[in-house]
Amino acid sequence: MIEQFLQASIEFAKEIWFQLEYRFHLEDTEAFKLVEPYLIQIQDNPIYLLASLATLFLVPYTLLKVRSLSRDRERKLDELIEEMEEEYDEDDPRKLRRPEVDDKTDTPPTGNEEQATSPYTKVIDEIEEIKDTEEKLEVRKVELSKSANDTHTTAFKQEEYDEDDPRRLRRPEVDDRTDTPKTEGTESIVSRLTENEMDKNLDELTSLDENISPSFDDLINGQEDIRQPQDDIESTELYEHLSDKDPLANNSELPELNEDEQDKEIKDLQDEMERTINQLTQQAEEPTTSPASIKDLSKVDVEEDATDDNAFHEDNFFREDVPLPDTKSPDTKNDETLAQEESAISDAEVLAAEILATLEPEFEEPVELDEELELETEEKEEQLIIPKTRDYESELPDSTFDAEPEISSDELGFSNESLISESKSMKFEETLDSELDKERPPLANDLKSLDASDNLIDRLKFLQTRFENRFQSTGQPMANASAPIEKSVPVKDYARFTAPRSYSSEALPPDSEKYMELLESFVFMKDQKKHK
Amino acid sequence: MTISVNIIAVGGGKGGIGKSVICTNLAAGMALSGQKVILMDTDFGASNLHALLGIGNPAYGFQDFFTDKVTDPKTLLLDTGISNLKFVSGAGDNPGSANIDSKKIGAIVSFIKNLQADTILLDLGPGTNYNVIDFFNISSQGVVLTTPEITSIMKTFSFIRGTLFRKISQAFQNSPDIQKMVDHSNPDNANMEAYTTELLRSKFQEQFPKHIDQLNTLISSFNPGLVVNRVRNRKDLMAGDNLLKLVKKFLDVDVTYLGYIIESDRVRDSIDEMIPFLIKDPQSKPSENLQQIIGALTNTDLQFVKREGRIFVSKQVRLSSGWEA
Repeated sequence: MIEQFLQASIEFAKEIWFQLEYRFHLEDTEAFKLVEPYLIQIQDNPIYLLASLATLFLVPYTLLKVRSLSRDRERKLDELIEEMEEEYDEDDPRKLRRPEVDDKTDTPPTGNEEQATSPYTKVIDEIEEIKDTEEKLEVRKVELSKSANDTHTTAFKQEEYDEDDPRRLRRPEVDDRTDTPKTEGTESIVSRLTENEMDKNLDELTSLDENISPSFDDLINGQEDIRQPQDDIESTELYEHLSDKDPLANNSELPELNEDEQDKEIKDLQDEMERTINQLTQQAEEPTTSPASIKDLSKVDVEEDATDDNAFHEDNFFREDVPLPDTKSPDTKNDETLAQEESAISDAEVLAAEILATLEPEFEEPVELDEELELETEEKEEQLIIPKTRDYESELPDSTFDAEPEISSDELGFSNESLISESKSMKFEETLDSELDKERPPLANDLKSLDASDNLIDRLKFLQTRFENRFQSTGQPMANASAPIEKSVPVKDYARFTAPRSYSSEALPPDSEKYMELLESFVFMKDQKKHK
Repeated sequence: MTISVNIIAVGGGKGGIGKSVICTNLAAGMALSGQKVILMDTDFGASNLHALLGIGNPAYGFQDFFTDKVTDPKTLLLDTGISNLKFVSGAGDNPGSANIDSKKIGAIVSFIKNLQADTILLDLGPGTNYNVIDFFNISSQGVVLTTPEITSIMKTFSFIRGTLFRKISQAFQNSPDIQKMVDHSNPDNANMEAYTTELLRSKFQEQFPKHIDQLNTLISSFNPGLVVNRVRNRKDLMAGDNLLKLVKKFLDVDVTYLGYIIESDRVRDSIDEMIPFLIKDPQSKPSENLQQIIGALTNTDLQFVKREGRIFVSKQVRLSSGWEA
């Protein structure tokens, strides 16, 4: 039965073929002649026949299947990439500043989730612990201050307090940004309160508090700077509420011309430096990643210039780069205002120096952030530049680098990375130096501002060198970081090792001259060279 | 001496390239086309043609030709079961039976030439010894078989050159100086410098100028046919083309390309079944290839069709003069 069926099918196929042959003369076509031996082979061997039939149906199916699978994988990969990009953005240290900018006006502090995964969680935790301790202290101070007379504080003590306590200096910033007329309204209160003197008990408590405050108050101030825009409305309301009670609310407006001029110059310098850094950062990375918060904050600082003191400026300068989280609550600020009444440090310059000193370790954090930021920027640029370099190398006719696709992209990438990072860092250094040389005003009379700016420049340079070393050490541990020529040597070695690719074991084609020569060499003896 | 019968010798330098199989099928095809054909196994000492025809325990063989057992040479012609096809077996291989002296060779040649048939097909043994070459040279149509492998190409070239030089040697049997030049069987007395026809011509021009025309005639009249067996692809066909070029370049011989047989398991199966594949499946591709070769040899267009176990042959004689017979 099966045999008959097969016979009938074969006969049917034959009839079809004969008809086709009769009509189109297929056997006379070149294509058929080309395929004919294979068709006969297939016809002769049932295995070939089965294989060809299977191929006819399976190959398109397989192609479709593979295509669909590849599409699914591509889709998954895209999703994964998107997820990774989201994670990347979340982990991006620049992101830590962005919400602060965005939330400056009305967004409540929501950065805790991101900060939980950030490398600065420890710092935040420490700050919170310190803040809790401070709150306890301030609660104690409040209790004590309630018992004491509110109007006993002298104007001199208020001035000193305002100059020295950075927490206290936060308030005018809020005021200027939110409601400047309010400051005028509080002037009468201030003038009235300047005549008051603080209680001795309050002084004692302030002196006790000094032992703790210089270390962690700065950190809290940093938090405040970041959190300030987010708590803008709340803090304004609180300030309005407290201004009636707080005798030290507007003491920052007390006239101190010399210090204001110095502050202004220092702040201008700092702003310019920050602007330069921002510009360089923007040039180095995508334009959208430039932290607008720095500009805004610097603008706020400029506006506050007339009312701020020296310590505040310097502190604020550093805090702009410190991505400290916003953990301070309005209640804490309320307590803080009370604590400011108790703080009494006479010398503002000494305190500013202390603030600088205490912020030194904290400054490491933005350093790390910038480091990572630059690292990411470098990586992105490398991704863009590496293919060009490879294309260029492959186009070189005699180069040992060309036509070697087996060279790992990592190997090429290292050399390119190092070259790019070096050139970029050099550019960065040159630009930074030129910018700083241009914009650095001759402030011979203000050693602190010079020291601060020099310190910043040195630190930036140090960070660059450290970043380069770190980057190159991760990219190519054994190569010299400052020798791009030497870095190309391993690539060359790899290219040499991939030489066996050119080895071919294929037989000579019969229509080639070499085949004929080989054949002749087999036919004739070595001394039989008389023939043509 | 006038050759009254068409003798086709199928030879090749290398063994195992399918000479016997092709020769058997050629004989079967020619017989089916109406010719009276005698197939002779001249591979003395290693004969197997009878096995390809399914003839077990043949009654007579070539060994009997040299004994007094056979009084009538016609008794050597065995039936094959294929109409118009007779068979002379080389069976009865005894050790040393391949070493036949020239007298016996001469006797066999004489026997062949006296056979009454349209076509006598000689299945030659491998190699280039004179027992093989001399049978090739008595043929009116020599068919050289090769396979695409380079070793087979080399051997086939050597076979053609040896056959040509043997032909020249036999033509100038009475001139020892020429024999030295063309017969290299004894290197001590041979002039080995002429190993191509061009060199031979130049030597003849220098030493035997009066024989140069005869030499040229011998060379020009020597035009065997070529069949490439076990072809798998176009590249394999190129190997046959290379052989033609090589022969033309060094021997100035025009080898006629007769056709090719593709590599097929059907051929192998036919050997196992001891039925010529042309008869087993005349519409298979190897059979069609073989029909083309037969057509080239006989100047006809043949088409074999098998219906209900019977083979029908369509034969059309070509009007144009084809291959010189």
